[in-house]
Formats: sequence, C-alpha cells, structure tokens
Amino acid sequence: MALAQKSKTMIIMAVMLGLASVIIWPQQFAWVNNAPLSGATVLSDTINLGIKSFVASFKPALRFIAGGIDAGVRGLQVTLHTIPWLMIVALVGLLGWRFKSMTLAIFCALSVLYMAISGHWFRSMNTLAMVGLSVPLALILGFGLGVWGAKSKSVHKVLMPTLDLMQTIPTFAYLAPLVVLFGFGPVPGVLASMIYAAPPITRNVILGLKQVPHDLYEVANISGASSWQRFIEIELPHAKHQMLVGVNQTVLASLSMVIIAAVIGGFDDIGREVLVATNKGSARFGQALGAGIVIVLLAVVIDRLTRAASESRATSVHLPLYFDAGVLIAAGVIGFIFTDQMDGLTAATATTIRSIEASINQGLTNFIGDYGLLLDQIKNNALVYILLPMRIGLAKAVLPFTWGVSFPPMMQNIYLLAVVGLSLFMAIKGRFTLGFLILGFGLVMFQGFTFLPWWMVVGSISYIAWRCVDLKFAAITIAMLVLITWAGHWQDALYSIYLCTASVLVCLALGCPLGVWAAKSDRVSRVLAPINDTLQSIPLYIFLIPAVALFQINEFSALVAIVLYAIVPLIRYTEHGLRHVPETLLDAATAQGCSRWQKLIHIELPVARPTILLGLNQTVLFALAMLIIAVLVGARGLAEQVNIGLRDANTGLGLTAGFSMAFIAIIADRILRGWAASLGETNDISMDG
Amino acid sequence: MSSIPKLECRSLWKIFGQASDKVCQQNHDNNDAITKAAIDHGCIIGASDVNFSVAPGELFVIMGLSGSGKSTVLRSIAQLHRPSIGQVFLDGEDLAAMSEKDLMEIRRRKMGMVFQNFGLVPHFTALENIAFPLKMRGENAATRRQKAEEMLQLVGLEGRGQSYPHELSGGQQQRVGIARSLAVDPEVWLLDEPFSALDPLIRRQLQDELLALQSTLKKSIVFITHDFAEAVKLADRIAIMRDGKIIQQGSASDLLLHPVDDYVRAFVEDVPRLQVLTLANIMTPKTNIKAASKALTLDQSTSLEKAMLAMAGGVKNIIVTDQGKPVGEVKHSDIFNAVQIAET
Repeated sequence: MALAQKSKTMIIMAVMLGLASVIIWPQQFAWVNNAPLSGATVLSDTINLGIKSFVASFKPALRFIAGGIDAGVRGLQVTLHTIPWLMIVALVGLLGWRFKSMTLAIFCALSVLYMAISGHWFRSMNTLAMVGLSVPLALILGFGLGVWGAKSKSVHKVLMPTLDLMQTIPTFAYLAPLVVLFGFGPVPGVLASMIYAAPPITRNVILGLKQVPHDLYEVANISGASSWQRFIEIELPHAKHQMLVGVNQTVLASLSMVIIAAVIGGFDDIGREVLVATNKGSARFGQALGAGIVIVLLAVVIDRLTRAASESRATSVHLPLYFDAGVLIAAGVIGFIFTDQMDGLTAATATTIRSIEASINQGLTNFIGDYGLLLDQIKNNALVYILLPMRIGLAKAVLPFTWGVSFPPMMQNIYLLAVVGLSLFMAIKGRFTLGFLILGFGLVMFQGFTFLPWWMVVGSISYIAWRCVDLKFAAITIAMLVLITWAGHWQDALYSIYLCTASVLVCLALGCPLGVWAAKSDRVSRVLAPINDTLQSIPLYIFLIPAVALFQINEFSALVAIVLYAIVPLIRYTEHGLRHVPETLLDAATAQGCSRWQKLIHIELPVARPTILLGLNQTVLFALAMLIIAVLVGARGLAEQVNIGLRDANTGLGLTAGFSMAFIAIIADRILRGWAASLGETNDISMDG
Repeated sequence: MSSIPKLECRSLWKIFGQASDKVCQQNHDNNDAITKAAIDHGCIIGASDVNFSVAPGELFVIMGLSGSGKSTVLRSIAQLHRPSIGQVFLDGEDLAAMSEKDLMEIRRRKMGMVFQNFGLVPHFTALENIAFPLKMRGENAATRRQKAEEMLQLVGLEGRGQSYPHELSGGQQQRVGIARSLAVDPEVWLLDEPFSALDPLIRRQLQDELLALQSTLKKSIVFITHDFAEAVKLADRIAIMRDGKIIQQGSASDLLLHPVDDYVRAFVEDVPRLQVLTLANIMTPKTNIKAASKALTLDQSTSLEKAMLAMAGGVKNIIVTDQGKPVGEVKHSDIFNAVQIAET
C-alpha cells in the first residue's frame, strides 16, 4: 500500500517535471509543441460553397419565405404606427391593472409614455413589430417541438443537445447565413430571433408535461379518456403555469435577439440607434443612454406584464371588461382627433430630452476631463498587471515600458524554481490536485494563456471532462477541440478562453462576496434583487454603453461589459445556496461553538458549494454569450471572427467560429454541471417561476 | 359459485422489466418455469398466477402488505398496465385481449376506480372532477352537471361542488374521488386502498358509508387494503396476497378458522373472533330440534359476541335458525372453545 502510494507520487512528480520543462523551454521541445493539424479554410470554404448552391437552387422558395415575413413585419409596423400612442399607453396600463395591480399599471403606462414623449416612438414600434412577429413564430415552433419531445423518447434525445446548440451558438453566427439566405432588412432578424427564442418555451413545455403526475394519467385512462382528450383536458392545463414561464422567457429572448440583429442593419429600429450611438463612444453617450433606457423600459414592461399574466389568479378587479374597451376607444379617439397637437407635444418634449442628452454628453466629457486620469489608471493597471500577463505571460509582459521594471533571466529562474518546487512539495505531501493547480497557474502566468501548447490544453480539458462527466464526454470533448483546430480557429479559441476566464475570475472575486452579503443581510438582498432582475432582462447591448463611455474601446471595456452581465447568476446562486442551508445544520454548528465566520467557512459555503457552482456555470455561459457582443467594444478571438463572417457575408467563417464558441460553451457547461452534481445536492433556481 | 362471475382473473401474471416480453413469449411448462425464466432475465414478478372471481354484487377484498402485488393485480384488472400472461374476464369478455379503443369504451361505461391518493385533477373543481368521465364519453354539459350534482349529494358534499381539491380536506377529497368513480354507473368498482391516506376516525366513517352505499348500489367490487380489520369489516370474501401470489381466499371466518399457513395465522391473530365468527361457523347442524325450556333462538348470522350477551341470563343452549327455520344447535361451551382456539 505504502509502496504503491510512493510510486504514484513518483510518477506524478515525473509528469509534473515533464510538463514544466516542455512549457519552460518551448523551443527545445518544438516537436511536441508544433502547431496542430489545421484545415485552415477548407471547412468554411465548403460551407460557403454549400450555401451558395443552396441559395441558387432554392431561390424562389427563399424569396417566398422572405416576402411573407417581410410583409408581416411591414404590416405590423404600419398598424403600430397608425394606432395613436395614447391608445397603447392606455392598453398596457389596463393590462398591468388587470394582471396584477395599479402599481404595475402606472409603471407600464409611464414607461410607454416615456417612449412616446422622448421621440423614440417610431423606432420602438419598429422593434416591437419584429418582436410581434417573431414571438408567435417562436411559440408555435417551440411548442410543437416541446410536445413532440415530451411524447417521444427518441425525439427528446435529439432535441436536448439541439436546444443547447440553439442557445449556445453565438447569435451573430447564424445571422450570417440568414443574411445570405434572406438578404438584409428585418427578415433575418425575425428568423434569428425565432431560432433563439424557441428553446425556452420548448424546455418549459417539456418540463411542464413531464411534471404531470403519474396518478393523473391513470385517472384519465380509467375515466375513459382518449390520448387526445387526456392531452387537452389534463396534461396541457397541468403544464400551463410552466408553459407561461416559458412564454415570458421566450418574449424576452426574442426582444434581446431583435435588438442584437440590428447589427445587420437595413431596418430603422431602436437597437440600431443604440448601436450607432454606442460606436461613437463618449461623444454620443447621452443618445446611447436615452435609446438604451427605452430598450430597458421595453424589456422590463414586457417582462413584468408577461410574468404577471402567467401568475395572475382571479384578480381583485371587478369592473366589467367593457370599461376597458371604453377607455381604449376613448384614448384612440382622442389620439386620432388631436393627432397634430399630440405630435407637436411629443416633438417639443423630444427636443427637451435631446437637450438633456446633449448636456449628459457634456457632463460626461467634463467627468472624463476631471477623472479621466483615474479611469485611465484603473484601465491601464488592469490591462498591464492582469490581462496582459494572463494573455502573453509574465516573461513577455514585464518590461521596463509596462511594469517599469524588467524581469531578468535570474529572476525568471527563481520564479520558475519556486513554482515547480512548490508543486513538487505538494505532490510529496500527497495533495496532487493542489500541486497541479499551482503548477498550471504558475506556468500559465509565465508563458501566457495564448501560448499554451495545444496538446496540453486538449489533454487537461479532456482529463477534467473525464473526471467530472465521463469517458464518453471526454472523447466528445477531444473531438470538438480537434474540430476547432481543424477549422483554423485554435489561436482565436485560446484568446476567447482567456478573456472569458479573466472575466469569470473577476465575477468570482466580486460576485461571491456580494452573494454572501445578500444572504446575510435582508436589506442588501432587497436592494440587489431588483437590480439583478433588471440586469437579467435587458438586452445585452446596453452593457456596452457605460463600458465604452468610461473606458473607450479596448479589451478592458469588453471585460467590464462582460462582468456587468455575467456576474448576476453568481450573486443569485450564492445567495440562494447560502439561504437554503438546512436550519438544523446551522443550529448544530452554533451548538458546537462555531463563530459566524467558522460557520460560513466550514458549514455554509461547503453545503452551498454545488449551488454556487451552478451559478458559476451560468456565469461562464453568460460570459461567453456576452463575449460575442463585446467584440463591438474591443474583444477579439473567436467572437471577432464571427463578426467578420457577418460583416463580409462569409458564412463559412462565421459558422465555424460560431460553432467553436458553442463547443467551448458546451464543454464548460457539462464539466461545471458534472462537477456540481458530484459534490451533492444542488438547489437550482433557473426554472423557478 | 352459484352464479356466473361478474369478474374473473384466470392465471394472471404481471412481469416487470425490459425483458418481460421475451419471458412471456417463451413456452413454459408450469408456473415454476415462468418464475425461473423471469428471474433469469432480471425481471421482477408483480403478480404470479392469480386466480379469483367476483360474483355480481360481491365485495371482494384483496389484502396484503406493501409490495405483495395487490395494487398490481388491481391495475391489471383495469388494464392500466396490461397483464403479461392470463385473462381478465368481465361479463365473459377478456379485457386483456381487448384493444385500447374497446377498453376506453368499457372504462367509460362499466368501470370505476378510486385511488389511494385521491387522484383529483388539481385544476378542476369538485364538480368538474366528478363530471370528467362523463365528459370523456361525450355527455352534454347539462347531463354532466345534473349527474355530478347527484353524485355529490350521494357522497354528502352538497354545496362544495365549486371547491378546488386543495380547498377540501382529505376525507372530502376522497368523497369526490368516490363520486367520480360512480358517475358513470359502473358495474365493476375498483378501490385501491381508498382509505389508507385518511386518519382513523374519517376512515371508519367512510367505511360505514361505503357499506351503506353498497347495500343499495350492489356493485361488484374489488377492494384493496393492507388493513386486515378493514378487510374483515367490509368483505364478503378476502384474498390474502404475498410475493405476488394469492395464498388463501375465503370468507373472514374461513381464514380465521382454517388458516393455510403461519403467515395467514399471524394475520388473523389480532382479529376479534367474537365479532367475526357467527353462530353458523360453530353450530352443530341439526334439523329436528325439540324446543328445550331454556333454549334461545337466534339467526345463524349472529356474531358470537351478541350470542354471548344474549346468553348472559344463564342460557345454556342456542337454537340456530335460518330464515326462521331451525338449522342447528350451539352450546355454551362451543363458544368458549371457539375463542380458545384463537388463544393457542
């Protein structure tokens, strides 16, 4: 036994030394570190050719579909522009009132009123027209798939990974082929939004139908129900609530995607306005913010209304429905009769708001003038001391020009000796995982993320996949990573992993403490909850606005935008996990004389760890999703390739890079979920109503 | 059996597991061969060679501990899961061989079932729950409503029709379950541990109501329970199950007086014999009886307990009658002997 342990230690130490030497002297071991197989552009060229011939042979069909969708959007657009805005204000107010409360009614009505008087009405309604068409399409598609998946085991098996792909492939990636197939304008946006927004409703339909208790099946059967009657009378009503949760998610996803689709242009919607203003940086911050607020309001109103609708029981409102009809007609009539006066009013208020935006610009310019030095310092410190070494390694990053000191060979050797020595020491102590972590971290910091040897990345990731999931998934991981290299995206993939890792580390450093704080203080929790809700329901673009305004366009802005979006799940899950530690366990700890800190460290965090890991998983996925948008403010890597693919209508490039990102997301997702599951019972909040 | 059975299970088997089809397709010489094949294929035997019949209007109780296969048998009768081997005859028609479509018709007209956990549909009101089977068979709204109200009254829940299941107590929920199962006027009534989830007082109350209902409705009933006292109270005949097999069936007093093995004996041990046994069980048959001076005349269905109370005045002999005619004789000592057997 002792001998076996000893030889195991020896072997592991040998492996550590081997790894270390190959990384420390890359030139000497060039034969192992050589670039892996790469088909360069073979794959993307093939895809491009395929799409081209597809378009050529199916032109009439594609034109027909595009025509239909285009007509639908235009029709909705004209309708929304014809209806007086006063009537829509009244409508959302009434809906809020009927579904929930007067508070919601006032909030919704005021939000829509702001859209009207801020001069964003026209573009908001254009966006709404696209959402209005893509939501029913997504619901029909998603509902059909969901029912099919719930009824057939074999369909379910194929559907689940497909849904994962539909949600993890960066949305830009399939915008490219959609543009090639259907041309510019609103059509690819609507279709992309349909693809992106269908999975939530599908998932919830499946979940809802699977939650129907077995008892009720027997009751239906013994009552002589046919399978169709059983479906209509028992299963659908039983799954209703879960499906409405899905509708809420689908509508929000659709809005988010419609906003993102503004990058393809050709349709004058609110997303386009934000995009254009954001790209102009701090000079147009006011405009970006103004339009951004409209998008946030749109999202929040839609979110609250659909959520209230899904939760609404018998309302306390007893007035008959013709009261509502009367209010609507009155608002409509007033709107029509006083069209000119209304337009004059909104024009005046819009002018006022424009001037406010201009003064915000001025204010920001002044702020940057006053605090620019500080902001630059923050940015530069982060870039130079953290991001740069992570990316290219201490050996190359530490120069008199950057750090103000040099990193002489002597020091480098001491550093390396310390890292290797410490990890070997840990191995002797029997703490192999810690040893490997120290070795890995130390050497990655030395050589840089983007210089990591191919075989080492593939080897360690698939090893982790094996330990956290299973051998089969390890094989799939290797296959996916090989595909990424073969498509010629290896360097870009490494860069994306690097930026994602950096963002996730920042999220961990900030999010976990915030989550703990929220779990310990109800007041903090009450403040954070609505902020988190809002951050989750607003479209991704909005996060770019403050990042760009404060830090211009560079890697750090990208990091800031990613962290803003991706930190939310970590805060939520940490709080959720801590708050669900069993009371008896805490009492037992108190009885044994634990201090608050000891309780937190030894009881609460370990018990909550699986749940926190699920949050980390969400954070990683959110970070990867944001990465693609963050291209617009200075991120590079795979995301940039996807963007180039979209810009140049190079479908092959966009798709291969997009799939590469999806692969990374899937690997990360499965590994983290496997890890969380192996640690014990998790407390998932993602499917809560 | 004097009359033609309403319901009959003939060598019924239910084998669970992925290879169950394979096991059933093979030809087996005898029951042991089936059992062996099932175990060899990693299957679990839910019911094994179950045979019994239920006469029209009879209340047949299947009793056994959890895992004994009693629910499996009931579900096999209802065809909620199809039997692996064997037949289930309802009015001479084999349900096990019937198509789903024909079964649907049978269930819509001839069968009602009550579930242990009530099985109420949470998004239906009590009335909608009761009317559900009627709706399934296409009755119009007015008929459904009228019939459901009637049923609600039958189970004593007038006025609670608009309540949702979660607004009702457990006992009330099961009343709704009973009303629903009776809504289609079934001929066969299947009850799967209907009172097990209720507290003792409500349980006793519902048992009494069930007996009262049955005295007028005269359904052919298969009633599942794990409570022997409940079985004794309700049953015309009882079958005791263990490991998927029926190990004995007969009237309560049969089981009491002639248990086939120690397992059955252990079950009947706690049963109050004075209440279960009747004069018919212990009398010495005699048709020519002289009316002795101190003799007492009692019907043969009188329980020993009542007979003893009647004898408290120092009566030594009882003349047992059936519909007024003397059929036998019971001595004072016979009653004590019958109780004493129980004690040994």
